[in-house]
Amino acid sequence: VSDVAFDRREHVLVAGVSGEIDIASSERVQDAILSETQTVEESGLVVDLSGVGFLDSAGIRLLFTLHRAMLEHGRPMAIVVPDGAKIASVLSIVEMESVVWIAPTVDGAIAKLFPPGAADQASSSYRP
Amino acid sequence: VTQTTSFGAAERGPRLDPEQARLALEAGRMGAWRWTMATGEVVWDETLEALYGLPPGGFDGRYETYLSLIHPDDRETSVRTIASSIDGGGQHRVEHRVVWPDGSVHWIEGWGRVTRDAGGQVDGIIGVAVDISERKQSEQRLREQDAWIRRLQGITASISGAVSVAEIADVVIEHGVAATGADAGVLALVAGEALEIVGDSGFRPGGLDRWRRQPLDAALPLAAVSRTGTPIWGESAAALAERLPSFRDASDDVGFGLMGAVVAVPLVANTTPIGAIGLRFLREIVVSLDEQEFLLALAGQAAQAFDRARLYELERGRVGAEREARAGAEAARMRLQQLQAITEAGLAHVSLDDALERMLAALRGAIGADSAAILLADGGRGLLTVRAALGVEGRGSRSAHTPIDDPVLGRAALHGESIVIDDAAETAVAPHVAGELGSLAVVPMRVSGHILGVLHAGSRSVRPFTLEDLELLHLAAERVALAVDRAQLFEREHRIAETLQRSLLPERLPELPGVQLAARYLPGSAEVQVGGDWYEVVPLTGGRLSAAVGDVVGRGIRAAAAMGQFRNAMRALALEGLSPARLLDRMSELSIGLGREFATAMTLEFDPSTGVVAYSSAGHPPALVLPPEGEPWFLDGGRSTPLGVEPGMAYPEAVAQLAPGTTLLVYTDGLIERRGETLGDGLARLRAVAAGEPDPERLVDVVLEALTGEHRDDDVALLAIRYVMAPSRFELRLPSEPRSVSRFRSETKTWLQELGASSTDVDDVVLAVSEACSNAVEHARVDDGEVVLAAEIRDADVVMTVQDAGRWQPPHLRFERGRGFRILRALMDDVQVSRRGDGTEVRMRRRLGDRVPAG
Repeated sequence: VSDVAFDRREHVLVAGVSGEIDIASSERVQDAILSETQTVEESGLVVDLSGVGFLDSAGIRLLFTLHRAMLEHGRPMAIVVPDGAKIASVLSIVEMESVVWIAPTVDGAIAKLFPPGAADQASSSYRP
Repeated sequence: VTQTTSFGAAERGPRLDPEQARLALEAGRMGAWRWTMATGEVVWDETLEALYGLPPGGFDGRYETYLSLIHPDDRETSVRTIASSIDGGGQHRVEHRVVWPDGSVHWIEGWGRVTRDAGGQVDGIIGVAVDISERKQSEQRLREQDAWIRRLQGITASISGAVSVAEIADVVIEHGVAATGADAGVLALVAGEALEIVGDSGFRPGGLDRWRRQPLDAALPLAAVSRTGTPIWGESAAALAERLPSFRDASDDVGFGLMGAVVAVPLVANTTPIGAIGLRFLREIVVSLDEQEFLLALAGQAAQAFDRARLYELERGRVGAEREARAGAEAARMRLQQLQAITEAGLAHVSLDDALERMLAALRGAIGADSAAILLADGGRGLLTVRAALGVEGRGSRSAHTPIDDPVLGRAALHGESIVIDDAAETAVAPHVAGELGSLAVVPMRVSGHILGVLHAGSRSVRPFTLEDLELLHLAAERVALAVDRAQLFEREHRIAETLQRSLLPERLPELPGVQLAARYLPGSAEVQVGGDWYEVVPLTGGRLSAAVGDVVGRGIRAAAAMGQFRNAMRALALEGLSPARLLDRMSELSIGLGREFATAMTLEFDPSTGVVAYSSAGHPPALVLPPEGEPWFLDGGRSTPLGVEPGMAYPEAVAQLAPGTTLLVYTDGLIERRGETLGDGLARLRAVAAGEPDPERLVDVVLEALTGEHRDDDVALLAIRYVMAPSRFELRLPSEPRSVSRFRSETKTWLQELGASSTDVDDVVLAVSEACSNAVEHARVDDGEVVLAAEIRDADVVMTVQDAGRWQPPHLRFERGRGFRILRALMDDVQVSRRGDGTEVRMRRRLGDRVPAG
């Protein structure tokens, strides 16, 4: 029911998730993203949820797990949730915005991780 | 027993009945007493003394003392009630006021029972009492609030019936005065830099004449309030005069000498104060919060109504001016035969552009000009724009603009001068005005003293225009101005009526389990004024609904206002539980009350739990029934005359059974009537178009698209009600494994959507189901286990249970501690987790509809 596609943008790994994330699919998505982060040099992670039509606490758990894993390596993470997306309400119930950057577009998310002008500094300090 | 005055809890405890002691202990503020018949002795405890405002030991044990403490009005009743317990049921309960020695009044509730001796004979009474002043006050407050709300509802009704500024002012003043006990009231509206009094009541005749128009910056209460938007709540006249010096000057006129206090409340429309209500009191007053709220609400209602009425009167004034000028046109026609053609052209029922061209053609013929043009002023842009032109190349272009301060045209457009230029070559006329012309004449076009633009005529050769030509030009300009103004007025009135009507129609339909609803309102096309079509759907208890579609015959603002009254009445009466026929009875009375406003309506009540629809029709076209199978048919029973035809009507009612999946379409005659056709033709066409479209949203669009053209004669309202097939309950059992969860979600989603639940409800409930089912699968997995979801609609609630057959979880693993449960709690109105059999059961409930989407 769900897929992950990867893309690289400057310092950032973009994981585009689509489909529904629940107890049946969250582990697979989590493994796919975690293993990809281990093979690349990119210093930040953006999880693009634009294509996700449904997400419950299993998906929330997945996002928190990814966030913790990134944090341990000093790599920042942001998620993309388009304005008006259905999944916005569950994210607001668990106050996701207080833990992870949320932006409506991939560009917006990257800008949150590496604010323009601070790019050089960011790339050097975040690179392991 | 010798003790007479008081008994403290410790040493005198044994004298209290055990139950009495317990009650007293629990209540804290509960006092106790005992009367011994044989001795006549009355004993109070200290708490009771405190309740009566006495110090400990302050009660002397005398019956007379007790009596004197009770409020005089309550004495007889309370004594009688207590005494009656001896002969009667042995128990009493009494509420009365007591007057403390300091004069303050307190409410006491007491109850007690008789005591009996060993032989069963009554030997005394014991009683307890508590202070209930607070409860009494809040009851009183609730009653008062209720009264204010009722009052405001009454006002809403009368204001919506008032059309002109003066009528509204009268209604507002009357209610403001009546509700507050003021002795006089006045209402003023801002007009530019001035404040104008538009209504007053209770003042000395002619007293306000000097103040009827006052500068907005005057140091007077109404001007101050209209300027600042800050209310004056019961300020004394003296204090006001201190603050606003001119107020004392007005003293004789407004009765300063007898004035105690003033209340002034701004009328605020769209955050801008547009005027104020003033109330005069003969005494000093304190304005309670309830009164303040009421007056602010009254002012709000008034402001809205004035906003509406001002537009209306502006238009009416213009219509009056038109009528006058038209009378002038009749006289002119006697004098100048040629003008007839111009006037007629302007009054013809054709589009404005056609009318103007015909008028120009007639004018050109009458004065023998080669060219004629009409230029309209656009003050905002500072331009004169050609609206119609004949004769000269390049002048016919609608986009030709001339600055409004042009030396020639501007003198006419800005200063209202008439200009005749005999020889353009010899005069300093700008080439773009003169063009190829030898001679030209320009006159202003006026309506009600306002210059709309200029009328321009010219000849190629040098041919001076005569005075007679000029006179004709003037008369023509007047007609043209009227035609232009009338067209603009028409558009404005149409817009106002349409806005009014839209504001009177429901903003959105209710969401009800078991039915899907869709409605549309389409105003008449631009050539026709708006009518009074309306619809309404009211949810009733038990999931039933009451609906109505109606048509007030007539056009324009009055019809729209009348339809607002019908709709409000229908709503209120339906909520009172009136059946469709009884609704029509009452609406017919209302129609007579409104001055026999001729109207048709169809009312119905539908019960989705049985599929039965009861309906009644007052001269209204029959609703169409689209069954899931078979031919469409009409609800043609329960018919009688239109509303307001005769007093005391008892409308008939008919009943029909609908199969699940049936859609009802109720509409107004604008949908089916066409000139030169019978009603039967229209009904047949509707039936053909609607067949095979059970989805309400699609049905109303398809029908409108097919049956209403660009040029509708009439407005159209239609309402589609689908009796959905979805069962009110469903159950799903799936293996206890992760992939079952998405199946639980999709089945729940389909079920809720078929029930007509809103997308917010569907999304939230589906998420809740996902959480509850995931929990069941994740924490309670046993081999070959099942998860059971049961869902049910009860009234407007969806109630669901999710059960698993797993083991009861130790507390640290419990669902209630997890994030999933937190999400569930945020989505549902009520969630309970309990042990059931071997597993866990989650019960959850949510009210459907009327919810603001999260985020």
